[in-house]
Amino acid sequence: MGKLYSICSNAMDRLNKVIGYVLALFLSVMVAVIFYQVFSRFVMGSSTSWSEELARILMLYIILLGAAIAIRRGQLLAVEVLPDILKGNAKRNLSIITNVFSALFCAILVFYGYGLALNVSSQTLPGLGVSMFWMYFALPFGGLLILVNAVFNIWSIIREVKK
Amino acid sequence: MIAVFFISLIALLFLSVPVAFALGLSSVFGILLHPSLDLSVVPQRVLIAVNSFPLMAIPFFILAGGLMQSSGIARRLVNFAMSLVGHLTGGLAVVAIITAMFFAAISGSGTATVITIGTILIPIMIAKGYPKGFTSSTLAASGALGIIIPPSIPLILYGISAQVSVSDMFLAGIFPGFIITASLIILSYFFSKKNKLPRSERSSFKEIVRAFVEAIPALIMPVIVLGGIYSGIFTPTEASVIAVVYALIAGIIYRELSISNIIKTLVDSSVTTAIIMIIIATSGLFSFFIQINYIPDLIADLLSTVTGNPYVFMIVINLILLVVGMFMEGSAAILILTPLFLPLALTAGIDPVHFGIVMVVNLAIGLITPPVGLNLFASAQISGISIKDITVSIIPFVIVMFIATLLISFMPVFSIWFKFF
Amino acid sequence: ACGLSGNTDGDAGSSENTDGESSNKTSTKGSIVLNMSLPEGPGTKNDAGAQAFKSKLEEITNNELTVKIHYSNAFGGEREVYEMMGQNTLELALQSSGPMGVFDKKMYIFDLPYLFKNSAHARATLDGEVGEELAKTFEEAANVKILSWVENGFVVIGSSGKKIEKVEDLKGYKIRVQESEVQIDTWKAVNAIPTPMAWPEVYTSLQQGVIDGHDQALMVLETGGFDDIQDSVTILDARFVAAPISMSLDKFNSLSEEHQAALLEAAEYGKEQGRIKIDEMYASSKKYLGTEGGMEIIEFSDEEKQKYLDQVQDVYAKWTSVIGEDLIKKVQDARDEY
Ligand code: NA
Ligand code: NA
Repeated sequence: MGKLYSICSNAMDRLNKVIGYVLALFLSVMVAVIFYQVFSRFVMGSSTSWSEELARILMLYIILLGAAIAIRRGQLLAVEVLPDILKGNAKRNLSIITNVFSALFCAILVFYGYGLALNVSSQTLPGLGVSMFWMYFALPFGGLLILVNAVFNIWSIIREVKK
Repeated sequence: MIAVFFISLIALLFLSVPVAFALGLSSVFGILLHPSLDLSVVPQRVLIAVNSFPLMAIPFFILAGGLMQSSGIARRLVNFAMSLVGHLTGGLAVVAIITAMFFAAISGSGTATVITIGTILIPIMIAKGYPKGFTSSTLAASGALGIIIPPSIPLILYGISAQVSVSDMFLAGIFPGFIITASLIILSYFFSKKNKLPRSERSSFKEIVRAFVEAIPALIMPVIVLGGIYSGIFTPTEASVIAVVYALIAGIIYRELSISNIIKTLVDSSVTTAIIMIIIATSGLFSFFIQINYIPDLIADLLSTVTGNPYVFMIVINLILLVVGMFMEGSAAILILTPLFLPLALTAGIDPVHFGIVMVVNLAIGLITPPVGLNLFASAQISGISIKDITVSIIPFVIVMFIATLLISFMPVFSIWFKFF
Repeated sequence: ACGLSGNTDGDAGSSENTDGESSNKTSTKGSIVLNMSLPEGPGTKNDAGAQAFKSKLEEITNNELTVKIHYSNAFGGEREVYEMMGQNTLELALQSSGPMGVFDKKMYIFDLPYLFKNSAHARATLDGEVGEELAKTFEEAANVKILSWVENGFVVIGSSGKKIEKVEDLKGYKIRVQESEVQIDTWKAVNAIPTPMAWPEVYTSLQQGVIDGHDQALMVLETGGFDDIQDSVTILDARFVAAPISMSLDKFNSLSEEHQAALLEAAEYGKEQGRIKIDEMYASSKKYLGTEGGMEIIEFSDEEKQKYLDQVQDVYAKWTSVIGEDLIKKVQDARDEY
């Protein structure tokens, strides 16, 4: 059990590290693309039709993937009144509950989000000319990563409680 | 159904479920009980709420702020403010407020302002013997300037929702920002005097000049961003990306930005973006749910009795916004409430730009009021104080800011001065 | 839960009473509320059509079906609203055909310049075989039923600074476009710079000179207050924008045949009233903009229209195979009748 946990823990760390690099890449592409949009209009007197759309889609992925890291780091904003009052195992149990609720919402996001992405896949993104699926896919994909992190949070806390 | 929705929202928030998921889940419960809705609306609303070009100003202004910090620009702003006012009574608190004012002219977010200024100043202030509660409250409150002084994400959002010019909103935010700054300085002066807080040594003229020269790149940035907007070179959203590129170049010139530094800033800015925008995303679901259940109409009906008298209306609106601000993040509140309140404000004869300022200033107070106060959380986290303790020390700041807000509400000349010419 | 939702229906009824409508306290127990999305606010160009549809539907179904109108894109942009109806999370909308091409490229037919000779031609086309075929295409692609075709009418160019009197004036002209490949190709063909931009950014961008102009229904220039920041209007009569009353197909199919018939009848009435209002508003807005609005009204001569059409032949060539040669020909062949 302890060995399995440490393998998973390592895998999670590595996964989140990769997510971090993807975030850095996406945000820098967003900056480059929108800067290019301003530049091309003013310097070259032409306008791009794909830049805004691409940047918007990258932003969607950043929000969902960033939230996955934030939940692991415990940085998502919450009303931390009760955790301030509680101590020890009561506090840990509360943390399990909040992670369960978070995971529950993300499960809905994954399940229905994937259905929606399939449903809209026949629409075409007008600027990029690719299927709308890739825009909506941010939800189930990012939702799954948040979910995985929330579940791992729960596992970590349960181990602490047992100790 | 509505009762289940509100009760579950409050319960989930109380259990400290992340605000984003509390908004989402309570809407889910409401939808499950709704006769005709099903859960496929959940991902749809979440995506629609953040699939918007103007919102891109949020990650960009956050990233610009992050680069300002890692490139040493923010530190130079602090040094400059310190050389100017550090020797006054409560000097460091005043430094924090003045730096926040400068930084607010670069940053579009209140929380980013707190994080940036706070990370530098909170450790210094605590080391010099300022009480933790007062220190973190000062930072939380002055961070609120971030959304009042342009550029500002809530001002952008209001401009979009109310269909008034974002540039007008930016112009209108300037003097209210100064008024709030002044009221915070007065408060911290009296607090520091009463508690005999330490002051730093007075800087020589030469030191002031040096600090000023070092801060020039930071002081030029608002000129480029706001100047670019007003001269028609770019839209406010595009201005935010210009701010990023400017900060990047300035950081490279200062030789303080390494590649690994930039990557770390990119990752952290993405995560901060996610922390704020995941709330905007699920608040889209939340606002859809209240819209489809006619809750806005109910509120509008209730309020329509007070629109006859603009003064009564203004007081009522201020109180409502104060309460709303306690529970709701500013951007979400603007998106939900503007379509609801603006028609009433127009009926009461209130200028839409002025009304936007009243909303944003009130919601800026919301940043420092529990249970949902982003600035409060951020500041408390940096100084390592509990939410319970900071809640006590923030009270005088809330009172002073509310008084300043009433002044701004009843004196439209401070916001829409440019319409008087 | 049933009791509570009954409550909300009652509340909706009471807020409607304040609008000065006939009191319907006897809100029928089985009353079905249909939510309807409108892009703009009360009193704007399509409000009359929506109101007519609503009151007719409530009248003929004796309030068994009621409509709740939500203004100002409360549920999201037009594309998203079509999508929501496809998912059956929203029932009704009266909004432009603009985003329909995203669901099926055939729907880009509306964006082809100078396809319709005039309003009468466009209306007859939509009321006839072609309208039916397009409705069927969209129904299959988007899972949304077109109940009737109302419209925004022919769009005009609202211009700040630069004046568009001839086709050549469009050279280097920065014009805001919606996300439509055909519109972008068209503006490029006449040497303009099409600039895709979100609607909320348009007003400020015009004010600041980020863009020179936008193509838009004439009435919107008045109701949106564009006369404060713009100096001229160019009437090209190039692009006709339809604006159907549309409905979630799943919702429509879930209703009784009687209710379905009532919806179609009410939509027909809404269309007639909507068209009357559109004509009225077009005339009054044109008058207002030319006088109090202080805008110069420029109308393209037949010669300029022909020049424009000549320049966009490549756009036709590129899109004919996508949209369907038969369909386009059917519309063009009917030109001479109007
Ligand atoms: Na600001
Ligand atoms: Na608050």
